Amino acid sequence: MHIPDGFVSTPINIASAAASIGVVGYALRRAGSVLDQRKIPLLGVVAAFIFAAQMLNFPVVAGTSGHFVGAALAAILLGPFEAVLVMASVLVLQCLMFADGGITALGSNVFNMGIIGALFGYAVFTGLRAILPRNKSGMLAAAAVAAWVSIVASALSCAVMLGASGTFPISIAMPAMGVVHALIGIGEAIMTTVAVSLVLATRPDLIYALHGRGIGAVAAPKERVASPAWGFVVAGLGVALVLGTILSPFASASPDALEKMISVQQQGQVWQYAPIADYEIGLGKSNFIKVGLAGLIGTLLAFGLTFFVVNAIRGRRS
Amino acid sequence: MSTAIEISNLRYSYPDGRAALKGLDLRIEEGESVAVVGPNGAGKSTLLLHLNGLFPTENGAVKIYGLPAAAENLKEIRRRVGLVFQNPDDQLFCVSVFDDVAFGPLNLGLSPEDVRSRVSESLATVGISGYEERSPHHLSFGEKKLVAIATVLSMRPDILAFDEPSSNLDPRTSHALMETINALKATKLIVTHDLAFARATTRRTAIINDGRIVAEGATEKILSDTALLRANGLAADAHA
Amino acid sequence: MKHSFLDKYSGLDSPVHRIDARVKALCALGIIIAIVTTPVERALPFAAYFAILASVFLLSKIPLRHILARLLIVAPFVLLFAAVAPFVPHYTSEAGRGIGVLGLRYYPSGVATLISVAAKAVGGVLCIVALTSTTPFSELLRALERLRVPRFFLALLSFAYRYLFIFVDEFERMKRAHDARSFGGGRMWHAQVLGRMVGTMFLRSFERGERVYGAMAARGFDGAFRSVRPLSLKTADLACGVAFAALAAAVRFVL
Repeated sequence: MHIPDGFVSTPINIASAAASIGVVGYALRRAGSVLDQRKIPLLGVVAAFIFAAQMLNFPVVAGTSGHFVGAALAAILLGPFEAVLVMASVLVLQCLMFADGGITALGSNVFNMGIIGALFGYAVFTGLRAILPRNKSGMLAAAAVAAWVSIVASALSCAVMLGASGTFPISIAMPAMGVVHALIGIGEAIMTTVAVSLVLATRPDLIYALHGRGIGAVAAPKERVASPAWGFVVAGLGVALVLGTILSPFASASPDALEKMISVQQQGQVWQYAPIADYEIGLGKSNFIKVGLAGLIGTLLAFGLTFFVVNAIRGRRS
Repeated sequence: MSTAIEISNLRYSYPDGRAALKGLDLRIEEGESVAVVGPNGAGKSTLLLHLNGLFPTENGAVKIYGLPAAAENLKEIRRRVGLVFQNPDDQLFCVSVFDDVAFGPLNLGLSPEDVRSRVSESLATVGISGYEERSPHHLSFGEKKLVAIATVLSMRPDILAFDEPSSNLDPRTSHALMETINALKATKLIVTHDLAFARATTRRTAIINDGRIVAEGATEKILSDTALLRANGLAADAHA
Repeated sequence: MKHSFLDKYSGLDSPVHRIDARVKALCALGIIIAIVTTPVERALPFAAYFAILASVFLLSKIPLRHILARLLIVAPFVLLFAAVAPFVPHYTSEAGRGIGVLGLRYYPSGVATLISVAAKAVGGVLCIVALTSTTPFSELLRALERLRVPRFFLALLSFAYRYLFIFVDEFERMKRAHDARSFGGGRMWHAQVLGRMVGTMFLRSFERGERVYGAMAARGFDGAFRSVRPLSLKTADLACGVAFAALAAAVRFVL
C-alpha cells in the first residue's frame, strides 16, 4: 500500500500532505503538552516494534501474502494520536530506508495508513465498544472489526487516490484493492485481536483504550465511554461505508466489465483520464461510481470532522 | 573522608506487591570499591536503581554524599552517581556513539567545546578513541559495554555503580574490563554474581539475600568462606 | 536483517558524501519534485534527469549493484500499472481509436503514461538512494533538525531507527524457534501465532522503552533535546546546491 512517486497526482499529494502535517502537528503538540517525558522513548521504541512487525507476512490466498500494518493495534494500545505519530515515524523510516513509498507520496501514505488507518480505525473501535458488552469479548470483537475496517478503509482511500489521479481506472482499483485487503484484513484482525488479548492478560494497565490515558501519562485513569447512540452511528457508518464501497462496483459491473473498459465504449460514455501533470478529476461519467465516490469522500470528511470535534470537546472537559 | 553512599533501612516492593528490598543497610565511604553479590532475585539490580533516584524513596533511606534522594536533589545526585546498566542496548539509545556519550554533558549544560572534550576524554579512558561516528547497533557486545561506561564517565561522576558488568562477556573481554574498571578513579559499587570479577575489582564485599545485606567484610575473607557462600546461593552444594 | 543495511555506503568518502547534508536533502527533494511534475508526453527531461542522477552516483562511488537492488521496491506497482495502462486511453480524443492488437485495443498515450509514471517511480527511488547512501543517518537527522523539522518527531525517528534492528532480529528468532516446532497448520492458526508474537513483542518494546527512559533520566534528561554538532555549510556546498537546483529547474522548464 506504500504508493511510489508518480502514481498519485500532485494536487492530491499536496492536499494529503497538508492534512497529514496538520494531524501530525496536532498530535505532536498534544503529546508534548502532556508533560511526561516517559512518552518520548516509549513511542519511539514502539515505533521500532511496529516497523519490525510490518515485516511479518502471512499467506492470504493462492500464494499471495499480506503484511501486518498495526495501525489499529497501535491506536488501541497507545491512543489514537500517539498511534498517528508512531505510524508516521514508521512510514518516514520506510521511505528513507527502503524507498518504500515515494517521498512526494509521503503525505498520501501517512494519510492512508496513519490517519485513516489509526484514527478512523480507533473511531470504529470506540463506537463498537460503546454498543458491545463491556467485557473482554466485547473489547476483542471491537478490536477485530476495527482492525479489519482500518485495513480496508486505508486500501480504499489509496484506491480513491489512484483513481482520482487518473492512474488506475477507479472501477478496477476500488474492487481490486478492496477485495484483496478485505482478505488481508482478516489476518490483521486475527493478529490484532490475539495481540490485544495477550496484553490484556498480562499488562492491562498499558492499554490506552481501557484507561483513556496515554502510556506514561500521570493523569488519573478514567474509562473513556462514548454514548451508545454515538457508538451506533460511528460503528454502523464505519462498517457500512467500507462494505458498501467494496460491493457497489460489483453491483454496477457486469461480467464483461474489464472487456467493456478496455474497449472504452460503455453505453456511449467514455472513460476519460487526464495526463498526470494537467490534472483534472476524470472518473468517468458513470453516475453510480461518481455518486458512490462522492458519498464516500463526503461521509469520511464529515465523519472525520465530527470525530475531531467530539474528541476535542471531551478532551477539554476532562 | 565522607560517606559516599548511605542506605538505611531501604524498603521497596514491586508494583505487583512482591517485596524486593526488606530493610537494607549499606554504607560506602568515598574511594572504596565494594562488591554486592547475591543469588538471582536477591534484589541486587533493584538496589542499584535506587542510587540514582529512579525509584522514589521516602525519609532519607538513600543518601548520596549526605543528600537524600528526593526530587529536589535529583539533578545533583544524577550528576554524582553514574549507573552502568546490565544491558548496554538500554543505555546506548542514540544513533551514534558521540551522541550517546555527549548526552549526559549536554544535559548538564556544558558548552559545545566542553562537551566535545569530555566525549574524547571518556572514550580515551575506556580505550576506544575514535569511535565517535560509529553506530551502536554495529558494535560488538564488548564494545557496547565500553561505550556504555563512557556515556556515564563523561558526566565525571564521583560514584560509579555497575550492574553485572561481566555478564555475557568472554574471559578475555571480561579480563580487559576488569582492568578498565580498576583504572577508573571513583567510588565503585559493583553488583555481580561473578565472584572472580568481584575478587579482582573490589576490596570489600557485601552479600545480599532476600532483600537484605546478610554479611559484609573484606572481599578475600567473604569470598573464601565457602559455607557462607553456599548458605546464600553463591556456591554449589557440597555433594554436587 | 543485516544491520549495516542503511549505512553501508554512507561512510565512504566522495565529493558527494562531503556535501552538507542539508544541501543534499533539499536538492534530493527539489529534483524529485521536478521529476514528478514533469508532464507526461515529454521524454527528453527524463533522459536529462537520469543523466544527472547517474553523474551523482558515479561521483559517489556507490556500487551499481546496490542501486539496482533498491529499485525492486517499486516493481509491484509498476508491473501492475504496466498490465493496465497500455489498454486505457488517456485522452478522450483517442477513445475508440486504439490500435488493435490480438483483439485488444492498445493506446500509445497509455504507453506514454506508463513510461512516464515508471520513470517517476524509478527516479524517486534513485533520489532517495542517492541521499541516504551518501549521508549517515545521524547526520541526516541533524540536517532535518536544522531544516526545522520538530525535535519531538526527530527524537521518535531516532529511537525507532536505533531499535528497529533489535526487534527485527527478535522477530526472526521467534519465527525460527516457532517454525522449528511446528508442522504446518492453517492460515488462521498461523495468524494467531503471529498475533501472539506481536503481543509479546509489544510488551517487550514497552519494557525496553521504560528502561531507556530510566537510562535517559539517569543521565540528566529533563525533556529537552540538545544537540551540539553543527553542520558547517561551506560556500562550495552552497554553490553546488544552487548549481544543482538551477540545472534541475532548467531541465524542468526548458526541455
